[in-house]
Amino acid sequence: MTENIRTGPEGVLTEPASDEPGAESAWQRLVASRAVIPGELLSVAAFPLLFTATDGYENV
Amino acid sequence: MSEPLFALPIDELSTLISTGQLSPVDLVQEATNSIVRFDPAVNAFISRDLEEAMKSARKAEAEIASGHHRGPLHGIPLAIKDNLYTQGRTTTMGSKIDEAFVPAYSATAVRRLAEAGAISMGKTNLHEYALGVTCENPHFGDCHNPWDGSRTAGGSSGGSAAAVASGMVKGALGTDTSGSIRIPAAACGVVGLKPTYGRVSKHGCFPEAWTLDHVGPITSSVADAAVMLDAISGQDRNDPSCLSLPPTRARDALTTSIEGLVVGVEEEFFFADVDADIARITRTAIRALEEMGATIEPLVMPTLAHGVWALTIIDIAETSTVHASRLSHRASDYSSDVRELIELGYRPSAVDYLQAQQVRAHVQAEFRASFDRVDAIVAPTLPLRTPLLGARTGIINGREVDVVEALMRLVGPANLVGLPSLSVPCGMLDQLPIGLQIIGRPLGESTILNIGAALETANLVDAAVTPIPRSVAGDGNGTAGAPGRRTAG
Repeated sequence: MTENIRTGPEGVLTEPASDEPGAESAWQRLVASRAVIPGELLSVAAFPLLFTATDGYENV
Repeated sequence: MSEPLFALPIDELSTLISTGQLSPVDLVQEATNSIVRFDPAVNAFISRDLEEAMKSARKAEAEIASGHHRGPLHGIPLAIKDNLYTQGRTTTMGSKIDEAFVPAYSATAVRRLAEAGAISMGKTNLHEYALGVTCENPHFGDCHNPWDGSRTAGGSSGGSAAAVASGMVKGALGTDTSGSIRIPAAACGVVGLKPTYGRVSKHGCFPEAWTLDHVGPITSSVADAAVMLDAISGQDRNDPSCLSLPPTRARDALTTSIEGLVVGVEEEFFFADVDADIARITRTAIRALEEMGATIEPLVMPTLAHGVWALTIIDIAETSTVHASRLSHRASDYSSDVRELIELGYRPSAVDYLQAQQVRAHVQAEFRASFDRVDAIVAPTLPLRTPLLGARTGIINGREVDVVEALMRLVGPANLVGLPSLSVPCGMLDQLPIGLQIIGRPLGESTILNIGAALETANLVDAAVTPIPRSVAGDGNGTAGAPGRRTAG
């Protein structure tokens, strides 16, 4: 097995590659966009169902 | 030269085949000629099955001659994205890690196409594991846009879209988790349909993010997309997320009449940060729909913008879950951008993931409320001009943007809430095609296909201008060799 700098000798990922500049900047953009989401959108108790309830919709 | 057979829509080819006026052998030969001529420049295929396809064509010819015509796809050359399993045939997922993987079974969509008599010409190129939207692939080579080889074909189903646009096949299967059917369809000037979540089985499709993944067709016309959808849709007990519904009958339901339909237009999200020329072309298409009898209804959907965050969190978290084992054992065998994306998925907390699901519920409710008022929502498919291969940033109205985020931004909401969405060519900008996105109600494929078919009749794209690999053609004017377009009737 090829040992990688981010995996231990057993091949288990020890931690994400936090030194990757692309990943870090992408993550920071995600954190920033999360910060502007209104609280009411993040506090509902209900979890979504995908559109599996088809009543009332066409079925062609 | 005579008009290529591929200029005809599938149902016209099928009529010729079923009446003995055309042999599948001729069609497969035309496909083979196009692949041999154009694919060295386009790189749409990871593996080709040309000899096997010709054998299948001869078998189909004999079967039809004996009176057994299976239906509209019998003898039609198609292609399969290489993240869909093909029994006994290598399925690479566009990766080094799985470059030698040979599945023991075929994906349900692949099997259904084969049962319908379609002939596979091979497996198409994709962004590694479908984890990207530019189809830049260091393992099998980048896929090039047939309209301009220096530009991306879009992704992740870039090979499928490029193969259709180049006239190598009549249609191809793609997959779409955050736009991966519609992005390349728009970039390559073809039709791409992401059906309702669960409409088409994902069994045998290597997952990206299981609550966002869809399988669907890429074709040169809306009618052809309807034919392929009819063949691949329907219940499949091998996929728990597949709906318990019969196959669609979208081709039979297809008309070009949209009289009385109400089409929604949302401005704050779908027209924000859109290239001004793309917005202008999109509005021209919307006016064409209005002139054909549709009513245009403005919509306000303030939650949509937050769906981008939710989609990204869900996508990367599920993706990293899928790839956890491979990442721990073969991290260095991923391409750098894909590895970065998978590692990014380790960062969100469980709370982030669940809050993203909560936002998803709100976006879903907002769409439901909108569809109480409208039959479909139209928007640009892409907000920016087709990027150059290798570009990490692009320009929208003078502002620098991240290419990947921009390509995914407008197509993502339909994945987040599982709605059917179609991209149809609606114009040209600097000799590159522009796509219109049409989002429908759950199970509303027929409605959006009808709107797309109506738009085709508006002739917003000159059918005489066709894509052709310029490095092959030499003249760059796109006038010879590649197929033209026909609209649905």
